[in-house]
This record gives sequence, structure tokens and C-alpha cells, in this order.
Amino acid sequence: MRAAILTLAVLCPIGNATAQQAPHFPHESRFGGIFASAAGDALHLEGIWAAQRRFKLLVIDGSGAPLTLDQLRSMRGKVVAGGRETPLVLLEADSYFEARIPTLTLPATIAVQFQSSPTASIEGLTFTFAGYSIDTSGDAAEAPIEIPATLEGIIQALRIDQQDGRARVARGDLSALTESEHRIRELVTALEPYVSARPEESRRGAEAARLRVMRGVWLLHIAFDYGNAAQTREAFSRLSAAIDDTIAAFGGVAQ
Amino acid sequence: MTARRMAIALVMTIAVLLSPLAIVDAHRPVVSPYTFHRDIQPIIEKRCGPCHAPGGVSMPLLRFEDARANTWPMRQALMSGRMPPWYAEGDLLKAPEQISTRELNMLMTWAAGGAPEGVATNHDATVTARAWALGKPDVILTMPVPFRFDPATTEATHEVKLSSRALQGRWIRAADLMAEAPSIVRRAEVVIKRPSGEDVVALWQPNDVPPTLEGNAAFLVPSSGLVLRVHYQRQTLDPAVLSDRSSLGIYFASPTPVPVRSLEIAESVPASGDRVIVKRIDRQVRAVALRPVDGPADGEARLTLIDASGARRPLARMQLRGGWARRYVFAKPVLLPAGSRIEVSITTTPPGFWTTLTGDSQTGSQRLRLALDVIG
Repeated sequence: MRAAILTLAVLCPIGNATAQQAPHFPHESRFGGIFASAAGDALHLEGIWAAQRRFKLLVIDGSGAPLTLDQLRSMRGKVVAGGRETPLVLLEADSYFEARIPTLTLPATIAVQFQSSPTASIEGLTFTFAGYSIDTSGDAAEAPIEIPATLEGIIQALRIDQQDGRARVARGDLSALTESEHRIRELVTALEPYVSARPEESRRGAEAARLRVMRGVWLLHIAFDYGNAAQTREAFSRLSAAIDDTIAAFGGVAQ
Repeated sequence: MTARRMAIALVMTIAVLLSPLAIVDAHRPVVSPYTFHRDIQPIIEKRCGPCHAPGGVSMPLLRFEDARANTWPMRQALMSGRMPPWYAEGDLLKAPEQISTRELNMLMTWAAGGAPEGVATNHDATVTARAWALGKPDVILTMPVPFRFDPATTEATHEVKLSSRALQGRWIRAADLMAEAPSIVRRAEVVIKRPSGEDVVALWQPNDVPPTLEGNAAFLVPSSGLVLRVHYQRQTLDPAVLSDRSSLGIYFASPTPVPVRSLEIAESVPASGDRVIVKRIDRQVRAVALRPVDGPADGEARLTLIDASGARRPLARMQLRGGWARRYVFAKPVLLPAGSRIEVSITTTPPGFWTTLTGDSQTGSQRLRLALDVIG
């Protein structure tokens, strides 16, 4: 019994923890990228290039703790790669920065001009990649969602998720229908900058189709959690139809 | 069981509970990165106020406490399409700016992902007093006698005839309502009663900008005047708000008005499944608006114009929800040539199919009625 209590004490700390200074985090990458530091080593950065056209920058506190969204929002940066400058955009849902960069050949050098606050000086960081970043940490809560850099790529990705879902419904496997819901939400959100490129007379239709996909995804989410099989199948059917409409609205061909 | 075995069982149970392998991942739970004060309140204020402000006609949502308490109804209303209450889409239609896909996702993520409050701001969501949305009306008619709620009821419909010498022989292009007690005025209609039925002059919803018809389309006021029909609703039996004396603002048409008439499409539809209804256009007209009148509450209708050669032109797509009657106006009158057809493709699910998830309990009618307002 005493051993059990001690084990519990390890698993479930009870009582007030003494306030301690958090130890400084090791200078190493965690997700297969390249480590850098900024703001006098108060910030640890990791540049990740896991796929063409997409550069990610993770920024954490020097103690390894995540930063708040307000802290991240105060940071600025741009990427210089392939002869082009691209701003670093904060993806708030995932708490990291991302830049869409040109296609590069290996080995690739990606330079980042980083500002840790609006009044901080601009720091130059250079990441030289011999190969793509490969995340072997195994503790990512969710695999990062690859957003294609082109409209055609996004449409194709939506189609793949749609067809995958149709196949699951056809074989009666509803259990994994919602695996792609987060990705579909991200993909349809990623269509936003392409709406203004549509002909003016079709922009409202394009936006309405996107809205229906978003509603459809959330209906599927709730049907899966609280509904029955018939509601889940019907929710997916609506989502699939909305994806068809969206593909058509953005100039693709529904299949 | 010995104390030793009990201890081992206790430790193993807790270890299993803490093990990620033991968590059944039905699907990934949602965690909201959005907080109420910073991200959500601005959206609610822009897209949902003032109907959902304190003193508005619907449940208040502008304060964190109210929104947090109503996350489930919010989710139901948003994902079902019941809210915001604009039920037609189509590139040919005039429409106010709608909630964006990004905003909808933020609201749903917040409501499903723990509804965090975030840091309170000093911002007090305020609702500006409503003004006449189309500017000063040409004529303002006030209900002669205030409507008074029966203290025991929460819903009522009140009809009042409004006539004035100023309306005699005039053509109306639009009408607006200024409610004295907006928290209880749910919607209103302005009609001209005729022996054969009613001409719908205006359909009013809280905080709508009254639509005006293109092509100088207008309604001639007869000597009998107009009928204002106000639908009242109270959220509670609060005795503090019991009466209303609304005013109707009338906007006259230009000097060359064109009379509006109504083409109705009406047919029974199945309780669930698909149905296609076709209405032939015998005489060339121009459609200036469409009005869903009745139909299955969960029905969706797609209207397509098919010309004599068979070429198809989508006109609109709409939900057939009751309770939010509106006139959806075409940005430009749509020519309906003689010999063309209006195809209405309607899809329904069995009554009550979604109720447990969306809270939609209306069944509507198994008779579809759509009206096209036409000129020419």
C-alpha cells in the first residue's frame, strides 16, 4: 500500500509546487527542423521545411514553454528565398508562423528576418536545408496539415478527402469519417484568398459554397458525436455535395 | 482481496487511465484558440447584434456570460443554417454581406472548444438606436392604438388597417417598420387585401434594410389602404414589456412605376426525397424578386430558368424555413421569356430527422409555395 501511494504521488503531484525558475531549454530542434535563437536567446526558433513551397517557423520561450497568441502576434518576420520576399503569417489555430515560398532546389538556403516585438531590432537568421525536415518526435498532437500552395492543389486535396469519405460510407465504415474534418476546414479556409480572383458575378456563389462546406463539416462533427448512423451518413452526403459545389465554383470539375 | 492486491489494482487502474492508449479517440476533440473578448464578441456584435443584444428580440449573446450559456444553441443554429437568418443564395440576388466562412468557423470552434473567455476588454458592445434604413420616409403611419400583450401569452399576431389621404392613388416601392418595443416585435407584413387574396407589399424582419425592387416595380395603394400585420413574441412572461405602437414608413415609387404581380408556384412535395416541379411561363415577364411562402421546414429548393432551347440558368437556391419570410430581390430584373420554364428542384429529409442535433422542430408544410414577383 505504501508503494502504491508513492507511485500515485509520482503520477499525480499533490500540494503546492514550489516556484522555481524554469530551466533553459536545450538548443536543439524538436520537429526535424533547424534550431535558431533570437532576442538574446530568450526565444528558441525552429525553421521547418517539410515540403516544397511551405516554410514554417516555430517560436517558443527559451525555457521550452509555448508563447501566448498575444506574444506571437507582436512578432514580425519575412522570409527571403528563391529571390523573393514573403511575409511570415501567424497561423493562430496552430500557433506557428508560415510563409509560402517559391520552389527551391536542394540544398536550399532560407533566410528569415525576424523581429521579436515591434520595437525590437530585426535579426537575420539563415537556415540551410540539406534535405526536407522530417519530424521524428512522435509526440506531435496532430500532424501538420499540408495546405497546397495552389488553387488546383487545394481543390485536388478536397476531392481526395471527399472520395475517401465516399468510399468509407460505401463500405459502412463511419468510424473514421471525421478523420479529415480538420483538414477540410483548413482547406476550405485556405480558399479565401482565391475568392477575389473569381469573376465578380460568381464571387458570392463561391463564398456561399465555402460556407456550406464549413457548415457541413461541423454538422458531420456533431452528428458523429451526438447523432445516429443515418444522421452521420446524411451529414456526410451534404458535405460531399457542398464540396462538389465548391469545386465547381472555383473552376474545377466535380467528380 | 488483500491490501497489496488492492494497491496494485489501484495503481494499474490509474496508470491505464493516464495512458494515451486508453483514450478512445472517437474523433479529435476541439480546443479553441479563440477567446471571447478578443475574437468572438466582435463577430457577434457585427453579425448578430442588435437582434441578440440586451433588449433585442432574440436571446442575448453579446456578453460572455450569455454567449457561454448558449454555446449549444449557437452551434445548432449556425451549423444548421438557421442563423444568420438569410435563406437564399445566388449570384443574381441582391444580398447584404453575409457571415464569412472564416467567421463561422471561429464561432463554431469557440463554442465547441471550451468557449474560453480570454482577457476582458473595456469594450461595451452597444447597439445604436435604429434609424429609418432608407432615410426619412415619405409618409409615416403609426398604429392608431397600441397593441397590448395578453399577460399569459408569449406570442401574438396583430393586424391593423392603415389608411391615409397621403397614400391615396400612390405607388409604393418600399416600407419599413419602426417598432416602439423592438424586443417584442418579431416580424411584420404589409399587404393589400383583395377579394382574390393579398398582395404582399413588404416583408419586414428586425434590422433588415427594406429591399426595393428594381425596374421601378411598385404597388398601387387602393382606397382601402394597407394592412399592417405584426407578429409579436416575448422571450419571457416579463410583465415589464407588454405593449407596442409601431410606425410604418412608406417610400413612394418614382414617377413611372411599373405594377408588380405575383406568379405562384405551388405543389405538394414528398415528406422526404427529391421532387422536381416545373412552371411554364406563358407570357414574357421580368422577375424582380422571389418569396418563399411555405414548404417543408428542412427543404431546400433550387430554381433554374430553362429557356426554349433548353439552356439552363440558375436563379437561386434557398432554404424553406418558416418564420423568416423575406422578399429576395434580383439585382437586375431577370427576363423570363414566353415559353421558358422555371424548374424547382426540391430536396427534403423526413420531418424531425435533424431535430436532436439542430434543434429544428418546425415541420413546415408538405405543400411548397414559392412566389415570383414579376413586372411586364
